[in-house]
Amino acid sequence: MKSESTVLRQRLARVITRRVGSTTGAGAVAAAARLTHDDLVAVLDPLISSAGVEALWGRAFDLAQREFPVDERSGDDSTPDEPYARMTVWLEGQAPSEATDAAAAMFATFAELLTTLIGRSLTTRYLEKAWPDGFSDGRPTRKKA
Amino acid sequence: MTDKVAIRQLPTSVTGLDQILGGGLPEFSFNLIVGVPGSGKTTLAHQIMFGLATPERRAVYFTVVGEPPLKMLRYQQQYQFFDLDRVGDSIRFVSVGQDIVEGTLDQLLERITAEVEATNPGLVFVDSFRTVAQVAEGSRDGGLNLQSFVQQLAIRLTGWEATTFLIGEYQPNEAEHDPVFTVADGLLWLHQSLDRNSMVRKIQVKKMRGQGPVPGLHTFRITDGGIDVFPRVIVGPSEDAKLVSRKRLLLDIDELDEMLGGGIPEGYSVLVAGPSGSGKSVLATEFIMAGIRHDEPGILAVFEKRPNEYSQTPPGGRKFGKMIQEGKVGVIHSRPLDLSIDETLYEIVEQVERLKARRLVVDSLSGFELALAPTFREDFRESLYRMVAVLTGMGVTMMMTAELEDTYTELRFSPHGTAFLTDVIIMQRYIELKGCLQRVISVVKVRGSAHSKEIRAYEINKTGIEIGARLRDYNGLLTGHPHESSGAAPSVREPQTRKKRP
Repeated sequence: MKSESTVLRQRLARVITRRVGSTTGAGAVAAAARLTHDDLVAVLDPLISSAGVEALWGRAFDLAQREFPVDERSGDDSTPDEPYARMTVWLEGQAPSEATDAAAAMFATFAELLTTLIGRSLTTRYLEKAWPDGFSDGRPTRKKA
Repeated sequence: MTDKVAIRQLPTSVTGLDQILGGGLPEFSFNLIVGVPGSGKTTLAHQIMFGLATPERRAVYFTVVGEPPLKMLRYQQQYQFFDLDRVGDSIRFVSVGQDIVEGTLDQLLERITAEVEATNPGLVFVDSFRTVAQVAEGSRDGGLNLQSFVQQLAIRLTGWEATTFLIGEYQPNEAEHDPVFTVADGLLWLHQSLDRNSMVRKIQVKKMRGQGPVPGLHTFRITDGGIDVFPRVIVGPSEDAKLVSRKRLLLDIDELDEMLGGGIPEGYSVLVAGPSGSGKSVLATEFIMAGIRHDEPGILAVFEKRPNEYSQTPPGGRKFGKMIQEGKVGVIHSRPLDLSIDETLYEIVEQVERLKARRLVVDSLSGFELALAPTFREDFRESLYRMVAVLTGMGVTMMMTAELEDTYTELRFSPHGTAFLTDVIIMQRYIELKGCLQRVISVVKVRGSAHSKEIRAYEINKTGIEIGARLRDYNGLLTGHPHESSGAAPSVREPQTRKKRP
């Protein structure tokens, strides 16, 4: 039986794949992830403030980077300051087959973090609005590492 | 018929709050909830919101910089009133922290107004408006100042038919002359004070336009269920005018009922004073049990022992325990050290009304005093006066026990100086007689009624309190060292065993 976290990641992977469409490559995944992120911000900013969204997203991004590291030798030496630019660089640095999974892991971690803080019910209610095509049955829970 | 506008009062669903507000919250009023950090402002605001918000009367909760919304949502949903199903349809949380950090008060006003116009809420909360004030003080941009901001907000939100609450942190001494307070229709001030390790929360309705709030400070408690306010009881003429009743309540201890002049007059307060082990609790238990036999339900308010100790202690313990189990006797058991009289009174009145109780025992006054927060112990007599007045005003006959250390040098009835509050005083003492400790009992006072002045021996046996004859052959009984009256044959008639009551 699949864990809730796995199911959530698969759902979010489908959301990103749908947004990528017929385009291929990690760059397209990065663009889709940016759209997915913007939807998230639009829904959650009023609820937990932009500072709250940024804090959670920063943590989710950090955890996802550890799970899906990029080969630093292959990338550009300079790291952009802007967090979303960093996300783009990170996703573009992934192997094409893994970029979608990496992005899904990041958003799933975000959802799990939010669940830890404000509970499943509120999280589900708001993320359904952000990602109606991927979150309706998702039950994000996260075990503290 | 009148042409005056009728202001609808909204019930807050916060226990006791509507009463101190003067009936409820005036609809479309503009209110401030203020107090020191941690005093329960946000919790009160949330509880009011969840109590009032419906899909037809939606609420918008604006969070400004202060308590981060993430944390507020995390902690507030621990309360039972936080109904997750209401979030969305009935309640909307909106963070406007960034607007105030990056913009001016004018922009914040426009942001709030736009949100209100878009959602048309019946209830608006801004938490915390003090943050707004601090930011306003920091930015001297020539725009709105805080007073104008609050004034315009009040006008706009009332125009949109919204009942509004601004929540803010204020120290008690800093806001007395704050012009912002003149704008508000209602001003709720939350206090908390620490006194010898005990924390007491109080709320004051400083202002509520258009209606008469209950003046003064009222204690409140925050539990998992939210906030419960315990309105300060003000003794009015109705409570002060003692219920006139010819009815007497029996103890079913024939000799003692006789000593009392035929039982205890209904609606009287009785003080049973005596040293440790003299049988005060036994007498109080008998008072309650007799009440059950006479269809006069009773309540036992325990502040010293545990309730199960009454059922484990003979005489009559098992029978009494059964009465408690069957719900015939109400039990109030409180041992926290931060109670207020009003909180206790609230609980007692609730049980009196539920059980239609006619009898009440407070066992003991010393335990009760100890259970109170230190700040309330200072005016224990005044508080007790209010409690006695309210309960006897309801027609309840109450018996209070008080432990007294026998000094044999003075005749005291209560360590609390509360004897004057009571209508009846029953005194129990030990005396030394023929090398043994002998319990004696006397009725010191029955207000407005003839009663026995005898000092009589008594024993506690398996059937209860057995009262013997008057110790007529001795003088100096109250010194603890009686001596035989001259020429009389010394005797102590043994108490007679009472017939068992059904």
